[in-house]
Amino acid sequence: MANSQDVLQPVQPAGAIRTHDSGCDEAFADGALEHFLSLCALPALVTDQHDTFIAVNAPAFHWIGAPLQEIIGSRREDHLRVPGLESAGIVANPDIDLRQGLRGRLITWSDDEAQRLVQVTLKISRYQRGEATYLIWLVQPLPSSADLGADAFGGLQANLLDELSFAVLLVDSDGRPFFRNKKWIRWLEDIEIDAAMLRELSGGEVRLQPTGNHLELAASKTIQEAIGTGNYDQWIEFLVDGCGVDHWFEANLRPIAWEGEIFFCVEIADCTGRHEAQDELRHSEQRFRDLAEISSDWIWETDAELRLNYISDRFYAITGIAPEEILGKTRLELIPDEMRETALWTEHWASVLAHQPFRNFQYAMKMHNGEKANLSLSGKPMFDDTGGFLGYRGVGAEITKLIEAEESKRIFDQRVAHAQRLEALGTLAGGIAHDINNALLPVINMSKMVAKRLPEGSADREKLDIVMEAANHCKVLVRSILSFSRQQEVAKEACDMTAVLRDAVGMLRSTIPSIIGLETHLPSRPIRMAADGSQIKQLLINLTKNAADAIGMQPGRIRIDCSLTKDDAVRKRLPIPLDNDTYLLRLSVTDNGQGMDDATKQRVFEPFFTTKPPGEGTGLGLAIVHSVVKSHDGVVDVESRVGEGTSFTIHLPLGTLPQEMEL
Amino acid sequence: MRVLLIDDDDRVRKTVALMMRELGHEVREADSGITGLRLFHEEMPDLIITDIIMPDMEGVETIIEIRKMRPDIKIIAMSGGGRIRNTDFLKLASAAGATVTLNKPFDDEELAAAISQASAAAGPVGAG
Repeated sequence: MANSQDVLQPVQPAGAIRTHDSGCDEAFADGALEHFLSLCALPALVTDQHDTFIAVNAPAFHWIGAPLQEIIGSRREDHLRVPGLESAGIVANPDIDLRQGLRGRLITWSDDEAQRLVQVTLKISRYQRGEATYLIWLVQPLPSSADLGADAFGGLQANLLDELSFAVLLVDSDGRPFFRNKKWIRWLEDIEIDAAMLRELSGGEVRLQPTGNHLELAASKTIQEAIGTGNYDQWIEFLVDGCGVDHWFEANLRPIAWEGEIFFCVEIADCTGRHEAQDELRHSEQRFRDLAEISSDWIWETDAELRLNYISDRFYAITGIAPEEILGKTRLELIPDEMRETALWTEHWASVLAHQPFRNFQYAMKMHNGEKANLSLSGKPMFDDTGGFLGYRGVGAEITKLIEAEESKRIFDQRVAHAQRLEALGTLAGGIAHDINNALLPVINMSKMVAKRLPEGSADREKLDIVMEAANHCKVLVRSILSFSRQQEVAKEACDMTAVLRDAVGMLRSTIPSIIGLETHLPSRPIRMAADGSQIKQLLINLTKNAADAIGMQPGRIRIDCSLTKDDAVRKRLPIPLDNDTYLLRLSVTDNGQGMDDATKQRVFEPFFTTKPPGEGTGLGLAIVHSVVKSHDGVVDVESRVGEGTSFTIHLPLGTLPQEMEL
Repeated sequence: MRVLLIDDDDRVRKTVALMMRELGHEVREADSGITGLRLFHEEMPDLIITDIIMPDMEGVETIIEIRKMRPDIKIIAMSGGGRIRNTDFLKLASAAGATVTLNKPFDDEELAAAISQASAAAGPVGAG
């Protein structure tokens, strides 16, 4: 500890500045140590076997700038710290002579907080005097931070480097550090403290933690390798093996030319956390991919330019589209041309360009074979920490089967709705027909009575003729409605269909214009069938009249075919199950008239739907056909091509005849 | 011929009455089955023309009542096509004893034909 003021007797002009303290004189007795110290241009401090300062040389005294009595007698460890050099046993340490270029910290005696910490490099020499061993600490404060002053890098830069939140080393062209910023020193200390604590806890046996030296050595090795291979301006990771606890750091070397010399500024960052995160990420990515491969849908990812950069194998398994076909492309490039202009797509793509999430977007993608794949995609935009768009990630499903199922359901619903509409109209028609007929009776007959009294050809007579004409059309219309609604009630009895159809054909021959050829292929022998004969007759008449109307007043041909069949495909479509050996009556009426487009075909059985001019058709002829077929548990099919003609084909099960209905 | 015409619809009744008169018949009008039955007793007509669907007394009932009293009388049942509750009233009328059935709307020729047919008929068609 410091001696009293009166004891202070600086030895001048000798090289050693010391106090005349007992036990210390011995060291200086022969003048050799003093001579050595006087030759030192660098600050030098001397410690005794108790690791206590006993003398300094003039440069050290001036550099430290503290009262001598504060320096002399103070414990070395309180002021000059070197990682890895503990006070105990330091003097006896046989390696101490070899210690050159050690890095340490000098904690000065200054009260000024900013001045207290000075980084130093050290050289330690041993001085043996009799039984006593003294250590001479040569301190080079040059590349340290705060007190660099006018030295190589100037205080400002050094200060700046110390202010950085990451560690910076300045190394010479051989990779030897000559400057460490505060952060790096702190790391060395922290790691040292951790190591010390662990050593203490483990009784000095187990070294679980890397020491400051480990870190310095690993950094030096990395830096030297980087210099050797010219690996500059990029981050190089290095592992500090902590005997079980891995510490990851990364270094980035930047070559700097300074007064004809090259040195390197090395940034060092602790990336242990990131490494752990990366490991976790790797694991989670693996988990993600594993899930992706076993999911029933597929998973996809795009980059920031919306180019597909990942798609799970399920995609190929489901769609048969090789990933190479689509990877690297945007979805915009993959959609069919006709889709690109649709509002659905443009709206969707605009939201994608705005990095909005989307769910179950359904669209088609063209494949290289020209076919389309129906897809449903959901996607979520990905952003980095700063909000930068990274791309989309999402799932996809192939929905062709779903679409087909929905389509068949839609058609089914439509058919049900159609059938319900027919029934409703029938009921309604029956209800209003009575009132209309009652109303028509005075209209027709009163007009007729008045007309009789008017001179033929007079204007008023003509007006009344039009009234009667209109009323008569109305009468026909109502008859048809009634007839239609009556089809829902069938009186099935044993019929010979051959006779029924022949009867109908006979009636048709007198009503179809002679310009149209009527060709019939009816069975020669009786066909027994449980049916409402008058309805079947009506059915054939309506179909044939419809065919004649489709041909119009011009030469044409109508062909009526009737045969028995066991067509399985038709059997399956019948509304009631049938025995396999039950025959079906197949009746077809084919014309070479104007034909129908799909829209007309769709509505052809709808009551009151007609393509004929107002006042001509009732729109009920085919509705009655449909109704009769339905009441006989059959099916009716239409084939038609515009300009080529139409063919109606009806299949009716013959049905089982009770004994009393036998012909 | 003395004819009793029963129909609740005034316009129809007036029209048919006019048509009958034009055909040279004497017509008494009743606007319901009950009035019809009363007039039947008073007038002793040769022919009944009756509607089927009427509010207070259905035409079919009227036919049955009249047929009971005069099994030989000719009855023409007319209807605008009764499809209510899926019962075809004209068929019912025939079964109840109508000689001839006539669908509305009909004209004078159809009416004349029906009258001739009814007159020519030997007796009640489908009676009993």
